[in-house]
Amino acid sequence: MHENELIRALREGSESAFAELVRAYGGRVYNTALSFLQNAEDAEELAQDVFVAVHRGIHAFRGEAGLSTWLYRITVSRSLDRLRHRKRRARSFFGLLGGSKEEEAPDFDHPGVLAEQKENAVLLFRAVRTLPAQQQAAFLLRKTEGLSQGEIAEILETTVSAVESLLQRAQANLRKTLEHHYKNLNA
Amino acid sequence: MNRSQRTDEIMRSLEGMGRADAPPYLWSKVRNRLQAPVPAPARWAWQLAIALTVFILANLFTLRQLRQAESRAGGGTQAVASEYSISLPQTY
Repeated sequence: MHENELIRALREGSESAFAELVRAYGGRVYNTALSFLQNAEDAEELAQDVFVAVHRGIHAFRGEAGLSTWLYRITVSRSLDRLRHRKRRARSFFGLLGGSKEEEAPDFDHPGVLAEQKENAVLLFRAVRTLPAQQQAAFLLRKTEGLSQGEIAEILETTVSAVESLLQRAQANLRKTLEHHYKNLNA
Repeated sequence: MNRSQRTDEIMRSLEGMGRADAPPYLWSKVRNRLQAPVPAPARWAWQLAIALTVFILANLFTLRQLRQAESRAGGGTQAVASEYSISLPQTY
């Protein structure tokens, strides 16, 4: 089904159109959420949240951006919200009482990473957690979804040059974190 | 392998990666959530709201009573003093 037809059918409340939307975009939404949250259960819940939000908000979709851009935008924004919530909770009284620290979250093994790269990818995903939100978003959309700088700019509602700068800063920060980690290992 | 080479290797570790598959039955789970009734505010939220309202009203009532007592205090003291034949000092 063409995107415009799909949007029209969604607005009319067609269940089969919505099933097609979930089939077509479920992987992208889930993979993006998984890369941000680094937890399969949370990512699945967030993917469901995104589609529920799309179902309830399809009438507000103006069609200025593509459907996939809109879906990515909702996914990224909700993932970042969830990460902020986790950090706040870890710093709260109850979080400190329970001994939960965001930095000490279990290592994440992304199922899409090549077998020979698994060990290194675990270190990289751990370092990604330390990045500021916008750098994290640009880096993950580029690396785990393979989006172009133009597509990322649309999703983050910014310019291509801003995305380029975000990616450069993300790479520099990741290198710094990894070199620090490597130095500590060798010490 | 030096530190810089090792870092480069880690930085390249996501190259060629694939997308994680969407969880099975995602559509069914989304549909179930759409069909579920929108949950009403939790019972504890109502209880908290009622408790807060009662607390605020009690405070307002107490403040009002205090104000009224204060405004009556001037004439009231004089009346009690004359009833019991007490002379009030003019200066304090």
